[in-house]
This record gives sequence, C-alpha cells and structure tokens, in this order.
Amino acid sequence: MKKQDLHNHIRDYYLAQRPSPRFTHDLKTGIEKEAGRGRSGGRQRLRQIPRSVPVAALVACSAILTLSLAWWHGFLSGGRQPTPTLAQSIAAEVAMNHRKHLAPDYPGASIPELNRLMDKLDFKLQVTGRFADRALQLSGARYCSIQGQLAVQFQFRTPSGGWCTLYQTPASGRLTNIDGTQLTANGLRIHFWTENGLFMAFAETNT
Amino acid sequence: MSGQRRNLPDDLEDLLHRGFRYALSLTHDKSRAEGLLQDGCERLLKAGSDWHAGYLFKTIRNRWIDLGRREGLLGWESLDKPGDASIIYSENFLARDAESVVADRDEMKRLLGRLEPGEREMLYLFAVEEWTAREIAALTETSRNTVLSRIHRTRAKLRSHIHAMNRRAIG
Repeated sequence: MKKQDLHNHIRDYYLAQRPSPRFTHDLKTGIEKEAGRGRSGGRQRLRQIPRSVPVAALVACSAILTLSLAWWHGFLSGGRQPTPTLAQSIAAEVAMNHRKHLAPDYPGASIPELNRLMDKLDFKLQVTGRFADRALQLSGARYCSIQGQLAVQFQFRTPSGGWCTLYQTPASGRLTNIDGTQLTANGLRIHFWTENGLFMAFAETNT
Repeated sequence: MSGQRRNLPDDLEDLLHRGFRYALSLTHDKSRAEGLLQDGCERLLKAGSDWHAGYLFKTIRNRWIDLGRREGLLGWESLDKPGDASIIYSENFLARDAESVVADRDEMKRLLGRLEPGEREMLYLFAVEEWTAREIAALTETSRNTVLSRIHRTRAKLRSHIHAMNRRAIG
C-alpha cells in the first residue's frame, strides 16, 4: 500500500482502468468507418459493435420487459402460477440477469459487509437458510432491478463448479402474489419466495 | 476524406479511454461505462460534433442523466448544501488540503463505490483530467464555488473512510 496524496490515489486508480481491448478496437473501427461515410450515411450503426458486456445493467434489466414473443414460445412453466404474466415477466428478468453473469460490484464480500457497502439500498440483505445444505459459496453481489424496483443479485459458486444467482428486493404487494412459484425460463429453473419481508428469486442452470 | 473524418483526432483511442474513465466515474461499473461510452460516441457521430473530450464527456453525462431519470433509480442529488454560499473556496484551498493517506487500488475502488456519482465525477475531472473548477462548473452546469466545496467535502469524506479502514486494519 502506498502513502501518497489522495489525488494521486484517485489518479492511479482511474488511469489503470480501461475498456476491454476488443471493445476499444471495435468501437474505434466503427467510428472511423462511420465518420468516413459522412453525414449522408444516415443512422449511425455503432449499435452493431459487439460489446464485451451489454449495455448498462439497469437498462438491460428494463429492456427485458420487451422480450419478443419468440422468446415466450420457448418458455415452459411449471409449479403454481397465481399470476402467470407477472411471474413469467420476472422469471425472464431473472434468467437474463443470470445468464449475463456480470462481474459483481462487490466481490468476495459477506452479507454483513454487503449491507454496509451497498448503501443505496433501503432494505437489509438477509441470509436465507433455504440452501443451507447446498454448500454454495458467495462470490459477490451487484445492484440490479426487478420490475423497476431496486434489487440485489448475489452470485454463488456451486461445489461442482457451476454458479447460481439469488435476488433480493422488498416484498411489495404484487410480488407477494407469486410467493412459492417455480418456473422454467430460458433453460433455467427459477424459484420465487418471500422471507422476512423480502421477495427472493433464485436461478440456476438445469443440470 | 469527408469533413467528419477530418474531425477525428489522431489519438482517438486515447480519447475513448478518457471517455471510458469518465463514464466509469459516473457508473462505477465497467460494463455500464462501456455502454455509456458507446452511446456517447453514437451521439457525437450523429451530431457531427468535434471529437473533443469536452463534447464527449457532455454527451456521456447527458445520456447518464437520461438513463437515471428513465429508470427512476438513480437520483442526481443537488450539489448545493446549506452554508455553501457563505464560504468562498479556491483551488489553493484544495491544494493545502492535500494530506497523504495509505490505500491500495482495490481499496480505492471500494471507497469510490461509496460515493455518489456526482462526487466521483468531480473528483475524477479535478484529479485525473486536471480540469479547473470553472471548467467542471461549465460541464456540470453549477457554480465554481459549488464545485470547489463539493470536491472539498468529497475528499474529506473519502479520507475519513480511508482512516476508518486503516484503523480497522490496525485494530
């Protein structure tokens, strides 16, 4: 650890941050190509550049709500469905976030530490005993949203080397309607339940 | 070669890295920073603007505010706090404020994550881009004094986090 002026610490940190080389290369190439076409080229097409990771997590969470009917064709549901549309919509969000497997904002932190670090939350994260027999290892957490409501995604490693995600957000009226629902969405088994005032969703790849 | 191509800087990659870092100061998330940077570049292309850091940062900032409003999740807190107007700050005041502290890069990431986006943004522009308070005020559409007081407060906040962290490490 270095002792230096705070400004130098901030500089050191930010100057070490770069976008992925592939992202930079593709973006630069796209800009040069589009700029070379001039304004008559019509709508810019940088959208076609593959990003190392998709758009902002919050935007992506909301974009899931516009999933196409084609996706729903492959949607197989199971368990009880008191409000199928809401359950399926949330399952789609959860499945999408699970598959993105974005790096946690707070890697390696315990739940008490996360409660301290994630100071944008207006609720306390909780340990659930639901998977006590699974020996899941918490690898980190990140901010997310469910139905536009601030939520947290926990990422766990399984003993077999796989991974699963747990979501927590305050249990509002609508969310409590799907307490106990289980669905299969986009190849993932999704469980919903409420516990100590929190709505929880759990996703893992079917094995 | 078109007029637009002539606007591209020779060091486009360096500008993209700066745009990414600025976006990172807002989002504190690499993937979201890449998304913001790409959005900003698209808007510059569409507008036919010059490829200067100031334009790029402004488009990134506007996009970030749009996203925050749309999602209703990310507030943009007021920069002014009671009492700011009664204190006149200067860059010299901040220079005297320079106290050495101990922290490594991972700790800095964690500590910066505890700040508001607007706080990180001002620290980034001041400490990394070396913008003046007046330049930051123009970008953020606030007063120079507000910028200086905000930087002063944010540095104090960050320093107290670092001292608390170091005390925990020693204890």
